[in-house]
Amino acid sequence: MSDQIELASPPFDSVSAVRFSPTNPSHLLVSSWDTTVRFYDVATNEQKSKYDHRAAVLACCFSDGTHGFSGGLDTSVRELDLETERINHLGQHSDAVSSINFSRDQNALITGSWDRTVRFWDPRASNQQQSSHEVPERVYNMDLVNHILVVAMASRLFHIYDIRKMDSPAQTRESSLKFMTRALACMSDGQGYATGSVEGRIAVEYFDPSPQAQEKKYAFKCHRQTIEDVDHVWPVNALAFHPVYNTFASAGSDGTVSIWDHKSKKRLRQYPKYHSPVPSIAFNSDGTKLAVGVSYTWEEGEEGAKTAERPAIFIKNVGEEVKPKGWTG
Amino acid sequence: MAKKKNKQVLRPWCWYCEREFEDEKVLMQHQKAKHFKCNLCPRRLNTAGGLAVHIQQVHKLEPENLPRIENALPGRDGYEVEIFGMEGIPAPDVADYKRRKEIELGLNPGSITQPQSKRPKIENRPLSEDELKAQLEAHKALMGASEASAMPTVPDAASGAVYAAPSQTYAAPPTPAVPTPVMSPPGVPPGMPPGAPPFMPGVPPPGFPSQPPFPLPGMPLPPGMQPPPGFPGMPPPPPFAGSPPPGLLPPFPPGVRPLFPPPFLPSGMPGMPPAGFSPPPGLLPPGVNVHPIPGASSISPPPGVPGAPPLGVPAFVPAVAPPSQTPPTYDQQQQQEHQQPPASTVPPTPLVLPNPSLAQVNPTFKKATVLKWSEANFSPEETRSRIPKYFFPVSADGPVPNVPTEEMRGKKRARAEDFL
Repeated sequence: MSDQIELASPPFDSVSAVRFSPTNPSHLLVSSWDTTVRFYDVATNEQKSKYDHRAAVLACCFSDGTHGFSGGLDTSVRELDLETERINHLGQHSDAVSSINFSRDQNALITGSWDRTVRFWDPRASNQQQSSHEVPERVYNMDLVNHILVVAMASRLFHIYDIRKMDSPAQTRESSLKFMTRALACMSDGQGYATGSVEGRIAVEYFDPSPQAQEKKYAFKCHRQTIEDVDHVWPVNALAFHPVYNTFASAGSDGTVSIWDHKSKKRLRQYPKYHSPVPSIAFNSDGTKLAVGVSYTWEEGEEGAKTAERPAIFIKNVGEEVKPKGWTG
Repeated sequence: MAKKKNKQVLRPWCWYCEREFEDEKVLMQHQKAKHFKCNLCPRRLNTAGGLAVHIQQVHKLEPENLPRIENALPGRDGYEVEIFGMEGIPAPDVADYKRRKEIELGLNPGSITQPQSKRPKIENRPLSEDELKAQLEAHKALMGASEASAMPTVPDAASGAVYAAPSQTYAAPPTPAVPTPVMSPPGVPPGMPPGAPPFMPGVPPPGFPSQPPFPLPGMPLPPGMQPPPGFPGMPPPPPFAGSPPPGLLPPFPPGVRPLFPPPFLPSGMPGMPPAGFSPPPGLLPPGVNVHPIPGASSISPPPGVPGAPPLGVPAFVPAVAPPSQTPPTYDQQQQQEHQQPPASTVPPTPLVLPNPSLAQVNPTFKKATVLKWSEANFSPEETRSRIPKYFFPVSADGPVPNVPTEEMRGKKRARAEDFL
């Protein structure tokens, strides 16, 4: 059995996000700079449907098994009905939508944008935009665990919200990394989050503001290579926590994906390098598969785009390597 | 019929696999299905050249990595020969095939007629100017003159095999649904969208080095390079003297363009509409503001804010001119004209820091380090979003119309078609 498959019909331009369904472990949404969101069944390696947008799509997510959401450079927030293949326009930001999350507890869609707002939407309500919350900087990444929303922004700012009480952030932090925030993921157990920067480094942070908890936070280098005494440092583009084991995967522009155990502070596995940078990764709902988007991530501008390999999406079967040592379940 | 049998007319056959067919229609269907099928997506193209362009532009494969033509005989799996049905088969191959057929059928040499030899062979000779013109006209008509927006400059001028192929297919390459990334050709003012290279008299348009030798004066521009209305024949722009192009006249203040994403500029809008031009209803749904300033969204700081280096981005500012309903002054117009040569897409607005006080500076490294993304204030995505290919003008007020995507798709499809 091969440990990974390549999807047969990848997007034509760089992948911006890969997201698995919360209910079906083989349903995958992929948003791309080719202005599409594609819906795949990875078990059958089949593209089930495709949604065209007016501009590059930067983010997508599922709400339930049959609905997806998307946002991108065209600033609008769209609901994608994965059964009828219809697109429902929910509303608008005033700049590109950079990240999308759905809270199943609150039945709320949360979007973050370069227009420096975080907005809440209820796709079922008649007035779909529920609220808009200003933040000091452009939103780059957001992630959600339970009712805790972490918003990573430009200028290395972080806001941590309780989504039941959005009037003010529960905590505001500056990144412990010295370079631009590039990736963010919340721990599956809700204790904290990991964030990655453009300078090949990952920080593990905890929500609990008590000094004892904060003492545990740390950062480490990764996704870099020393060639002839010069450090080559790639951005950490994506992080994803395993839904069961709470270990996490990191993906970098060096084309590698690594699995880390943040408790023992050990790398569990580094997978063989892909031909291009990895812009996005995601575990599926039962933690048996890891989707890996592989495509150019614009570090070398338009010149790099000319020589870039064509985008690909790999679905990796993950096994024991994602289990922490001595896992007892 | 009887005559045909007597004279032993060759049935149409496929050059790639030497199969015979009832008629050319079936042959073309066969070629589409067996040989000109893209193995990366379900597209079927009409010719090898079309397939090559499709694979290069849509799937971003380098010319040298093109997969061979599928199901072809050895030596016939390349893209050099442009076959369309029975047309384009190299004469030696026709003769060879004929000879073998004759032997197979036990006939005297020369007893088989060659229906295709009676057709004018247009494939392997340079086309005359008139023919080129005619073909361009036909092509324009087919494309509905919709290619106003960024027609990518032909990527990889040295695309070996493909562009060495008979040229008439490429006189105006079909713009792919996903245009290839293009750099502004050298010498083009930064920020100027591709597809509208500044035509200087006597200077061949950059980006078309391997194209058939277009005579410049009076040359019919390919659709993608159609000059905006009011620029008949595209005279070399006089150095900003005289009246500005109609599209820059009020009621369109400087920097103002209809709100359309550049790569998908709908058809029927080559360049900017002249004053008083009202777009067809299907293109501008009600509620569209034609006047607001692209990019003048909430993130735009007052002009002249320091510390907002437009990194990796065309370094010009004017598209964020303050929203003003008053007609622009002549100076502004000149400036506008200077920075916006008659182009057909909205120039990307530069990236600006919404809050310069938060501007970041990367710390220095102790050790020799190559940081792959060294820009401290803008992410790769933000930089990328300002490339003309991706740029989407953001309206300051009012929602961008929810144009049915089908409409867009229709346009994209049409232009991606492999017209012949």
